[in-house]
Parts: sequence; structure tokens; C-alpha cells
Amino acid sequence: MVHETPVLSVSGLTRIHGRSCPDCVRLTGDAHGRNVCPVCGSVVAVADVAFDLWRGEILGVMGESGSGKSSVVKLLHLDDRPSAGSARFREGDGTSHDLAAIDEAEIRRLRDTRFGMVHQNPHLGLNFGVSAGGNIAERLLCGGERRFAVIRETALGLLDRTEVPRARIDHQPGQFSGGMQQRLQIARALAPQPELLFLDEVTTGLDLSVQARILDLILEIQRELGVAMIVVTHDLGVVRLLAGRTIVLRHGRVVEAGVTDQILEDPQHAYTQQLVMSAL
Amino acid sequence: MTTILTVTGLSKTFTLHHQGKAIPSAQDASFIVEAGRLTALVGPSGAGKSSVLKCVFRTYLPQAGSIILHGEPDIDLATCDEHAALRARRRDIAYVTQFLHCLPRQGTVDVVAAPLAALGTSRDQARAAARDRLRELDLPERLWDVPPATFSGGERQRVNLARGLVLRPRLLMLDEPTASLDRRSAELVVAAIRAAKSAGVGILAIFHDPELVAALADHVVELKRPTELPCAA
Repeated sequence: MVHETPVLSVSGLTRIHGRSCPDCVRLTGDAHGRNVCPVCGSVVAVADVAFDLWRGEILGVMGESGSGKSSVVKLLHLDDRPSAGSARFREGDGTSHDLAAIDEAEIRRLRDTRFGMVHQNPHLGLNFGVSAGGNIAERLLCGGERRFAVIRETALGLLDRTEVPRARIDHQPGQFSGGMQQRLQIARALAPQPELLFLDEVTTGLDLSVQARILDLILEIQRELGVAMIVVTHDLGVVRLLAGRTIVLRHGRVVEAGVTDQILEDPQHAYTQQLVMSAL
Repeated sequence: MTTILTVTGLSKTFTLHHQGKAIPSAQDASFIVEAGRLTALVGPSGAGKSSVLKCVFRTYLPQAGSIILHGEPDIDLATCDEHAALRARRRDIAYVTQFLHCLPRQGTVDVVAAPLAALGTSRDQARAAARDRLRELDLPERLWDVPPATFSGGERQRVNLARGLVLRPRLLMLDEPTASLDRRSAELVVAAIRAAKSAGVGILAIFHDPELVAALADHVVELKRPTELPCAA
């Protein structure tokens, strides 16, 4: 369920790759139909992105390849640092951080204990060199848990929750099906009880029945754990099912933001209309 | 009488950028909905009746006019931020469309209980309330744990209405709730609408049957087809 307090407030978020010049932002974007600065050749991956995310809310991020949606997630998950702007993250205990201005130690702590990330490619989100249980244990160890019994119990609980059979706890992810690898990634991401979960195209390329189970699991997690989530996808069905609100990115800019069914049924921007019309 | 909703000068036009077209829908609609009363929208096909409901639900964004949902504070659903619109959906507004959209893999009780679950009501309580609504609408108990995908039109419409009523909304919107129903099912739906009115729910409804308008409506609002005709669709 949604709690009416913001967990994340993003404003003016900008990431420019290259040496950049004063004209980069002004000469790129939707109005110019490009994200490469014509003056200095820098790539404006993200510019002036702003949104709020409430506790327990799921925000959809839509756009085609190169629109900047993965870049936004990298900035917020602290895999990359912004060129400008701020992203204020508020922890459950009330402490708040500007993700654009925190030090390395805080970055590690937030990534290890407050954030979770689920990638499209399980090789990016899982350690294929250790068992399923080991994948979950790694996250708990990073969070400071040292008691073997606690780690084992937590791992089993997470496998139950994500419907990975307990009997597979000592198997390596390489022996799992694609759907089970995704569920294990979700279990690993949830291990430290994060407050913010990033899901980057997590159902892309999976069979429909497998997709359905993953999407149900995500909704169940939202309902029961109240974790806020940012769901990046190009699949309109996924945002319709999961996200209360959606933002649409193009050339690194938010070109449209709204209640998800408004975005899908009454899109205002020419680009969103094209995206919606392209759906099967 | 408590006014729940005040709509003033509401106009909706669809702009299709790629075709360079503007398609007018509802034009200059004004009306109120009061607690325990039913406001019926009538008018020819294409006058924008369903568009008005979708604007109130924030599925459509109107070009002009205001949609004030009265409360503490009042909010204008035409312009408020998305969080406020979603909050109104969670707490105050239920919208029953002609079609039931739900997960094909969810049992009927859970489909009906969903709006309560989204408010944080416990699963058991939400399911108990859902069963009460399904019983009132006389949906056979053997169907309660089955997904509604295989139901008849009448059964499905009653599930839809049960879901709309489960959280006792302040404003209930109905888009042809008795369309394609047999007489017995239609009577059950009409009885449920009367019960909701008695319970103080304000209702904004579209009916295709003039007899139902006469029987149920306290206010009748006539919408005219927009002067510039939409393309033949």
C-alpha cells in the first residue's frame, strides 16, 4: 500500500557524458530531436529529470532504447554520478541524503542495505560462482549480518517468498531456469529489506506464463512489504499492471508524466501517442 | 444535501499529433452530484458521456473546465497533481466500466476485495467485505473462488459493481451498468444502486435505458454531440 510520504524527490537531475559546454542542455532534447550537443559533441543522457516517489508506490519509467531510462536508474542506484541536480532519499528513520552529494562510504551503505536492484540480465544481478543461498547471504553479509543461523533462515524465507524451492538453496544460479533466476535476483535484492527497489526490464525476454508469475510476485511484494519501486520497461502491459504513475522519457527528458491509465488512454505528447499506438 | 462533485464547463478534445487532427468529445458540460442522489448523463452516442466519467477519474485530461471533488480540502481533478488524483481514487471514487478489467488469474473474491486491500485493510477483512457485496448482488457462491474470466455478462457485471461498492465510495460512477444484462440480473443491479443511494453514495451514471433514468435519476444532464462532428467511427 502507498504511504503518503516521499521516499525519493528528484529535481533537475542531469548527466552529460563528455567535456560539456554551456549550450549542451539548451541545444538538445525533445524540441531539437537529439541528445548530442551540436557545439561540443557531448552526450546529454539525462537532463532536468524531476519526480517524486512515495513510500510503497510503483513508478513506471517508459521510453525506447536510448531515451535515458537506464541512465536515470544508474544515477539513482548510485552506479553513476550526476553532472547536476539533486535526488533526495529519505530513510524510514527520517534521515535524508542527497544522492548527488554523498561520499563513498554512504554510497556503499545505501546500495548494500537500503536499495535493491533487479536487472534484465541475471548475470548482472547474481553471482554465478556461488549457490542460490550464497547469493542471498552475500547481501546480508554486506549489511553486517554475521550469524550463520540468521542468514540461513532469512535465505530460506526469501526463497519461499519468491517461490524458489528450498531444495535448490545449494544449487548455483546457472542450473536455474530464466524465470527462477529472476525470482532469485528478486530474493537477493530483497535480502537487506530495502526501501527502494529498481527493476530494469525484469520480464523482458521471458515466456508469458513466467512473466505473469514475476509480475504477481512484484505486486505481492509491494502489497506486503510496502517497498517503493521504480520499474523501467518498454512494455505497456507491465506499466499498466504495476505502476500507479508513469513518466515517459525521450532524449533524456521527461516528455510526459501522469497517472498510468491517462498516459496509456489519453497520451498528450506526440511521442507517447506513437508509443501507445505501436503496442500490439 | 451535501454536494460531492461540481463539474463546470468541462470540455474534452483529443489531439492526434501524427494525423494532425483534433477530435472533439464532451463540450461545456456542467452538473453536480449530491450525496445519496443520482445524476444521469444522457445524450446521443458520441456526445462524450463516457469521456466525462473518464475525466472525473483522471483517465482523460480535459482541455477546459473544472472538476471539483468536495472534501477537506476540495480538489480539482482536472488539474490536481497525480498523487492527489490517485488518493481520490483510493478513498473516494469508484468507477464501474462496461468491461471488467482484472487479472485472469485472480479469484473473484480477491478481484472484489482489491480496492480495500490497496487501502491497507487486512486480507481477511477485505475478503469478508467482498463476500458481503457478492452475496447482496446474488452471485452464486460456487463462483466466488473462480476468476471471472469465464463468467456470463450478467455475472461479470455484478462482480464489477461489487468491486465498485466494496469500499463504500463517496462517488460511484457507472457506465451503462445494466447493458446486455438479462432482466433478473438488471433488477439485482438496480436494487444495488438503490441501496447505494440509501447509504448516501453519490452516483454519476450513464444508462442506455430511458426507463432506468426515470426510475433512478434525481438530476438529468443532457450532453449534445459536439458541433464539429467526429470522424465516422
